[in-house]
Amino acid sequence: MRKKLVAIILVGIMSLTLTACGSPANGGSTETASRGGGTETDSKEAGTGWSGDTIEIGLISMITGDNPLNGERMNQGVQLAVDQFNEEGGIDGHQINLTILDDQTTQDMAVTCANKLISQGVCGIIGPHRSTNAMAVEAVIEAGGVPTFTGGTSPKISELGDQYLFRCRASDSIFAEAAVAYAVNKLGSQKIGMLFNNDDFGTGAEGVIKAYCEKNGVDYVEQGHNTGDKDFTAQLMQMKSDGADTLIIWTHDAELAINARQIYELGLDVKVVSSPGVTMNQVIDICEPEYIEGWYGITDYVSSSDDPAVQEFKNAFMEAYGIEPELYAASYYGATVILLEAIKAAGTDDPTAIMEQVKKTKDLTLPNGTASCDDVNDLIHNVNVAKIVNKEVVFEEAISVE
Amino acid sequence: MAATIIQYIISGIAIGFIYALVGIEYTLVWNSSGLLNFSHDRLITLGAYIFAGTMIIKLNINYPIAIFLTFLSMGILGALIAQGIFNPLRNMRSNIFAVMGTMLLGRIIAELIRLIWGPVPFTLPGFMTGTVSIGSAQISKANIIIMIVSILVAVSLQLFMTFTKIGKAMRCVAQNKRASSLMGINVTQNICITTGISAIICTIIAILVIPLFNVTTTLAASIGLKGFSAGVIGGFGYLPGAIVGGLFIGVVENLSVLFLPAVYKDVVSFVLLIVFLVVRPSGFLGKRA
Repeated sequence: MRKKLVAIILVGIMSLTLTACGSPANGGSTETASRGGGTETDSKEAGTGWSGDTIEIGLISMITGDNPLNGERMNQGVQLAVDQFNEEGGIDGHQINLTILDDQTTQDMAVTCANKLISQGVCGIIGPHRSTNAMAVEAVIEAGGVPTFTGGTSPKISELGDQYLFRCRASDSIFAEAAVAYAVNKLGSQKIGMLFNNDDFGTGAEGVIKAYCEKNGVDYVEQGHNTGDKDFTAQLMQMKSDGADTLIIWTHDAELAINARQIYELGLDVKVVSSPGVTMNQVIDICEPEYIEGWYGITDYVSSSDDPAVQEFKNAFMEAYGIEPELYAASYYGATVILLEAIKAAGTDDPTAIMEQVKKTKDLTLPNGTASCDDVNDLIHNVNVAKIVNKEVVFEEAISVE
Repeated sequence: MAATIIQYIISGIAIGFIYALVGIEYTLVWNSSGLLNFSHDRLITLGAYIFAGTMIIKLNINYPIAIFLTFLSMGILGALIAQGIFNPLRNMRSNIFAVMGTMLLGRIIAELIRLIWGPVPFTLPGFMTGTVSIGSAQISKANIIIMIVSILVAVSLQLFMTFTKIGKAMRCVAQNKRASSLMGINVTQNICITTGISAIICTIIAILVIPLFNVTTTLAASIGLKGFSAGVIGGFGYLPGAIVGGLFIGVVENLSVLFLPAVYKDVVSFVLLIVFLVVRPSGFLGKRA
């Protein structure tokens, strides 16, 4: 009897855990729009008109897993754009309905979510975020023929050649080149010390920065680490003994905050240029002010920029959620605006017509830059440099890279 | 160069004590129930959230009372986990049921943390911050406190196991559950006490690492497996062994940077784990495999 009870409890726990991934999350409707009860071509002539009362779009977010905060901001940014369009009467009189699914920040669940959204008949998908997840769903979305927007920044995404997959943030090659060029040209760095995460995100930047230094004759040393590492003393001491005058750190939030503390504690007298994390509250708030004072961050979005598009978005976001937006909110808000503008221009919810309209995007002003689609479906080509002064993110300059 | 090596050794010892504490916690549960608690890294994270998120930031309780209340709540939770998972599952045909149970419990705790405290990481400003110079080497105050507390925990546990009735009962249960039961020891209750104590050790680890790792949902990622390695290398099932194993891993993985790229630090720890499992499964100090 006891064994039976235990088995039932275990099955229950497993079912709960497994179903959590597929459940629509807060903010999204659970209803799925019917495309008229048949295939697309049954219900309408391809490329014209609307298939239902509402326009269905999907979001593959990271609500659970190891990146829930970024997922929450992603949801808020997308929801804000949808709400704004709906408040203005929707598109051609059709309200937009957003379905949010959770990929648990894993590749297999991202594929499951993409399949589910495509089978529900969405005409556009926002997310998944991580480059590895975007590459995992690529074949599914190409086969399904639904325009999809990822914020994954790995340069490998551009090489996929998938006409339905768009990138709504600048590529890492742009971020990394901006970081090293800023260090060398503006900060006068003589010897670059590269600290990078040994995943796609970190090694992508490492390749670009190493190549830049070799090409321009700048001294260069590097040390890697893994996601989840808690002690960087060995890497930092190596940088110290190698005599690096500037550290470029390319890693995730948790590792970045620990690096900041250890650089300060070990007394390294260096300039630091970092991946976007240092400009975000989730890193700034867990660092003592002296740890990150004077650091530079390369990022998509800086709240303190006086750009009217940034200020307008920031005010709307704060009004809706009572907190300041950051780059995930801004980037995915931007991606949703691009998608919805393309639907509006296409005058239909036919995914192929929408994809063709997204490809025509040019000079669309967004909080995270100006969107123009290039021949590898990259939409954003500019980044910002910000400096941390007394825990405030101060906008320094915008850098455009073609 | 000498200064760099000294810094590597000091930092290795500091992180090694954290691995040691995790190893001690693994060992306790293993000894009492013959099971491995794979939810323990989530218990460490939960302890940090209860202490920092609820006791200090939300309720603004002073530190000693907050520590006591966190110990109490985590101790009770540990006993409940033993009653709900270890005791019902330990006698099943395969240990895989209990292992799965603890892994799923870990997932549930992780999601509960996100739902209760939210996904935003935070810290306790000014809590055990600052550094101390030893010659040219630097060591953070938090690391010094970790070393002292780890030694105190190991010594106290050893005394508790040797001189108290409950401790002696725990050792009996570790040695032979059936014989203990025949001698009148309530094995089920004993496992609850041991798991409660191990949950309190999780809380000690959690509080100590807040200034180093901050309070995030991934707080205990990676130290869990390193702690397991510490236990195996030192001699699984033997408390002082966990300390020796922890220090060994901490120092060796730091010194490995002299010969290998730093990205292979983790590889060094796990290669050591495999080498010990194959060549000397009883570890440095252990008496049994």
